[in-house]
Amino acid sequence: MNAAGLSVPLSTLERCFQGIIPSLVATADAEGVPNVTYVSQVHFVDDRHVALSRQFFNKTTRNLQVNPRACIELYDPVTFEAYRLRARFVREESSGPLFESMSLRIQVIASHTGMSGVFRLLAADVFEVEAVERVDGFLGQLSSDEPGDVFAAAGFRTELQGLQGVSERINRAEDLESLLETVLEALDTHFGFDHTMVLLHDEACGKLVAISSRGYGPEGIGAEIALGEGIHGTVAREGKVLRISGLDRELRYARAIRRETQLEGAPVAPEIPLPGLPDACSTLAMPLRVRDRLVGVLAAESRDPLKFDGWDEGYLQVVGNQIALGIDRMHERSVTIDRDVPGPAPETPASSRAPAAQPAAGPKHTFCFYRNDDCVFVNGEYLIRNVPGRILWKLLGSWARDGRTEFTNRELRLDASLGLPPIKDNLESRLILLRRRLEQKCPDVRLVSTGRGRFALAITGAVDLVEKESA
Amino acid sequence: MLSDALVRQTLGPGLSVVVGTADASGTPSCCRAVGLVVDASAQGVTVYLPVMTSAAVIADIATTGRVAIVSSNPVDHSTVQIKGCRRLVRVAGAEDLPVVRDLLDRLADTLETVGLSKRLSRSLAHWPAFAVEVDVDTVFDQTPGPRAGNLVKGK
Repeated sequence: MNAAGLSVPLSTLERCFQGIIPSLVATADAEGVPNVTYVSQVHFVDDRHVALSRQFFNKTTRNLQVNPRACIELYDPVTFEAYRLRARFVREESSGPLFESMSLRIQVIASHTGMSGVFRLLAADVFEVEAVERVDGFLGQLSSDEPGDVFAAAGFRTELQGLQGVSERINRAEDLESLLETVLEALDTHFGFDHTMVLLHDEACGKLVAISSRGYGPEGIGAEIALGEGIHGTVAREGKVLRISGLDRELRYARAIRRETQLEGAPVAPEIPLPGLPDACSTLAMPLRVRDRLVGVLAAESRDPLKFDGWDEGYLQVVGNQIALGIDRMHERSVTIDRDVPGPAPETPASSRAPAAQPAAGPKHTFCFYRNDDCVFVNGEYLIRNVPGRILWKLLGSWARDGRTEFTNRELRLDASLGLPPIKDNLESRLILLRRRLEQKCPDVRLVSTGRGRFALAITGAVDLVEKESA
Repeated sequence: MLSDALVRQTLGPGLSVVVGTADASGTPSCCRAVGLVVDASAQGVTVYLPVMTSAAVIADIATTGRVAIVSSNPVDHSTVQIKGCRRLVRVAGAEDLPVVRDLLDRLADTLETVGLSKRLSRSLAHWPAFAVEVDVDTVFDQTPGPRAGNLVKGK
């Protein structure tokens, strides 16, 4: 018996509480008629208590109101051992840290499957655990004809060295782009997080924008997510770290509810595509904050349902704080550097202006700017929108009218028509985004750094500019 | 009772089956089953419980006769709960062994589609087993969502 009086301490069953294998809950009504149901996750509260999420008022709830006794069966997803908890329903919580922690997870899944408001936590039902027994013989002798277990146990950890490595790279970074790239590389090297993404908060449009990623290829860059939407948007809005194991199963569960809800005729929103791995089984996302200000979100995914545990959550928060401070420092540094760069050149007299020379041969690209939403398409494909879209249009316009190819960050900051916020304008991140989107969609048009706070527009081939009111 | 196509679909082989019971004082118990087979009469089912893991459940059934059985598709979570009374509890015999093995194989096929290796799921306790024959009184929809708990069949 441990201090809590249980033969198996609940704290030793951490893997059972990660929601990877559904648990069973049996209850009985006042007449002793049994009811049994699956629950997606049993939450560890403390050494004597667990909690179940209540999303619907169901038979289990009704039974517990007249008979508080419950039998809960949990499964370890690594060893596949089973444990039975004899428990007594003691209270429901509809506010407070436990409720909020359980609610966040449900909000994220609901938002991701277009079920916000329909699929939500009504209460956290808290149970006192009176006895725990290991179910002997649940798993027999493993057959030897098929090699390999489904889940790999956690590997050797060198987190402290990893933290040191990440810190060094943040400190050595010369600019925001190299900071983000090297940090994600370090997370891969030191922690084995091979699918990661940083989304920065764009206060001007109130969205998160994917600015840097590792393991996904270039396609996800520029993806926008509103605060409160999906996993990353919910983490950003709530300001809380979220770790979900068994993500694939949670999404299947939510989609079952979505299907049932649609059959009932209730409206549901279109599902938001998950940025990143289509077959992710676990995810860890955390807000990047400097004091109370949201800088962005750091997210990691894995096909391994047990990739992230409580320890990862803890040290990744340390890494996250350093990344947030690093991003902030890079923005400050960029502004300081730009102050030292001479302002925009005096406007060229009209008589001296020379439109850019278009080559006779080579690829031809058509850029179209839609004024109603500041959106730029290239060759009929979406390229970029909002402030980076306006910046691109300004650069291309200057090039086409006057043949200009050299620009400074400072002149962009001084141009009110671009709509950059007066403070914390994130210009550097917007230029990174623009550069990367051009690399993906039109590599013949490039932004090339020419020194601190300066860059050039390098164009190969012919470019046509078209401006329209709307699509 | 169990002739409805939808009900039979959620009681078919390859699904995840669990059993709940309560003792005379109302203390519940539960365990996993290997699977179930719908009777030819469509009025009852035979559910197979591993001897190693079902002692409390079998004791409850012997005492109260009441059984709740949930059958769920792990892929899409379509689920039904049937409730009924014990007709017979027996130790599964040699004639049941091919049935139990087939139920386990079909379950392993399904679980593989949601990421659980066949090596692991085929190693789940399954034999020796109790065969619990149950007369079904009621069938409830238990697919997660607003209709969970709706009565499908019975009174």
